Amino acid sequence: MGKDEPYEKDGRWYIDKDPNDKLFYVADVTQQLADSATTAVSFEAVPVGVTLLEKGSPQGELGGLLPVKLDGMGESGEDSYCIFRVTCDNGEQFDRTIWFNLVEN
Amino acid sequence: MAGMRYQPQGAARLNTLNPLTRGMKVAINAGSGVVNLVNNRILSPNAVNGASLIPALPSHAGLGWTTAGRESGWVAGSVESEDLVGDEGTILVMFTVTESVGASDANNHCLFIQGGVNPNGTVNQSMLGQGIVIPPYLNQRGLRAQWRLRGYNTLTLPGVAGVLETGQTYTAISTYQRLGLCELFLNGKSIASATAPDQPLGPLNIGTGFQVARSFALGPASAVLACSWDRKLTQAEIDSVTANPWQLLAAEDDFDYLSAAAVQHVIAVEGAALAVTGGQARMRVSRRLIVTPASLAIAAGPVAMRASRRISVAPAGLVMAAGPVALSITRRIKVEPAAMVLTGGPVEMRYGQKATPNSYTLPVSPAAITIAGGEVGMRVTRRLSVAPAGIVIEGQQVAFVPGARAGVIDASKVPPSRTVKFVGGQRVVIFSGGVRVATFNGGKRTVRF
Repeated sequence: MGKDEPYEKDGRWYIDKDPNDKLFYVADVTQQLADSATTAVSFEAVPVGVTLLEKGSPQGELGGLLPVKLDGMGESGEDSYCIFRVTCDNGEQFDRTIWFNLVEN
Repeated sequence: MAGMRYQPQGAARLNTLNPLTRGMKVAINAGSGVVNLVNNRILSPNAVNGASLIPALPSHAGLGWTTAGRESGWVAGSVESEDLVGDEGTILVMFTVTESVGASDANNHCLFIQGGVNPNGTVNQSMLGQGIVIPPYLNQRGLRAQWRLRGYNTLTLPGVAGVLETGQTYTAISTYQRLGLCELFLNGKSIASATAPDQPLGPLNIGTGFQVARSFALGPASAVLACSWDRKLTQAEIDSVTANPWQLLAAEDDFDYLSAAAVQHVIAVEGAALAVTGGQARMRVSRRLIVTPASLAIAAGPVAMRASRRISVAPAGLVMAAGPVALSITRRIKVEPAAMVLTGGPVEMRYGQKATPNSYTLPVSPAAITIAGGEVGMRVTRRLSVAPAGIVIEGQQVAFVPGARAGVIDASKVPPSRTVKFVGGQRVVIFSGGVRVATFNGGKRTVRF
């Protein structure tokens, strides 16, 4: 998988990120919502090592697209990730995490 | 620096990384005008004998100087004489036979290039020195090579007839070696030769164009490239340059600042200035470019700078000053604390190409952005921060178009490269008896604990 695509490593999903990039990122949990036959009501974004600039609302089919805008990240070697804490229409909750790999663009 | 595969149009330069250019003294590409690309010296038209500047016209191999339907005239330089003196040398002419080979041109035009030109400007057959006379030689679809030796003696190889066809492109190469073999190659194959005398090559003014060759009956052809060396090319070199003569030239002033490895994607120019100057200058930055503490200056006629990665010019400034100026930036540009100045005739600054919700900033602080020129256009589709200084745009025609911002995040516009699709995993199920952790199970609503 190319560096420009999200990639899975040790059970974690990574996206390359320049520390100075202020970009939008999306967690797509549509499949999980379909598996549970529910929809996403809301989500919380918990940034670690990155700064949350904006948080959108669940969008798309079943509300499975969760957009955020992030800035910065920790120094090399420090973990940087964002937890998407989803609350579903049927009361279920789950977390999904996007990890960031520091790159220089 | 990459060699060209096709004829460069406009400004070009030698591909000096190609060892074939070693010892090169003259390189004239019709697509680049009447300029010796070895030293960027412009060859002035010589007005003697009804001479005039010959425009390069399209042929099937590119722009070339042609005899077809032209009045007599030629272009000559008169300052290169000593460059071609020595015991050996090579001349290359890449040309096309445009039409009606074998037919007489009403004006008896003879196309020559690198021809010997009398220092007083007159041109006639006897004064053709180092050169290749093309076609058709003696009205027989042929060509010949000629070398002027010290003392105005001339070594002329036997003319070769019947070797040229209409609509074809040829590379003719002639080599000279004192007391050695003097040969004429057509598309890499030796077609004529003679033993050279014990004489060095003589001083010679270079010329390009065509002449009224009164004793010839000639048809049209078009010369697209002419080069000379102060050494004799080897057969392997002749084969290589014949296969692609354009490998001798690099792209027009095209500066590719690419880091060799994707380690940091940073090109750092520290302590000194990065200056891009020329007739036509184009700078393309596809990696981060850091120029500090000196300045990045691009000054020329037409100037184009395209940056798709971050550019950091601090603490000095970015200066683009010329005629038409175009600056296209799709990533952050930092100019701090100095100024970014774009001046020229038509000026265009384009910052950001796509009106996506992504936000790239353009901080220019505390200095100012100044864009001044006859025609000025600035298009900004990213965030632009200029504080505490201002933006100054002045010109006869000024357009400032800030890009629209959606205001609401649209997840569907976020590219796949920044979207993670999660599948499977665990979830927390809340029910009347408490909380349980379960795995997603393909749509089954029933959860067993």
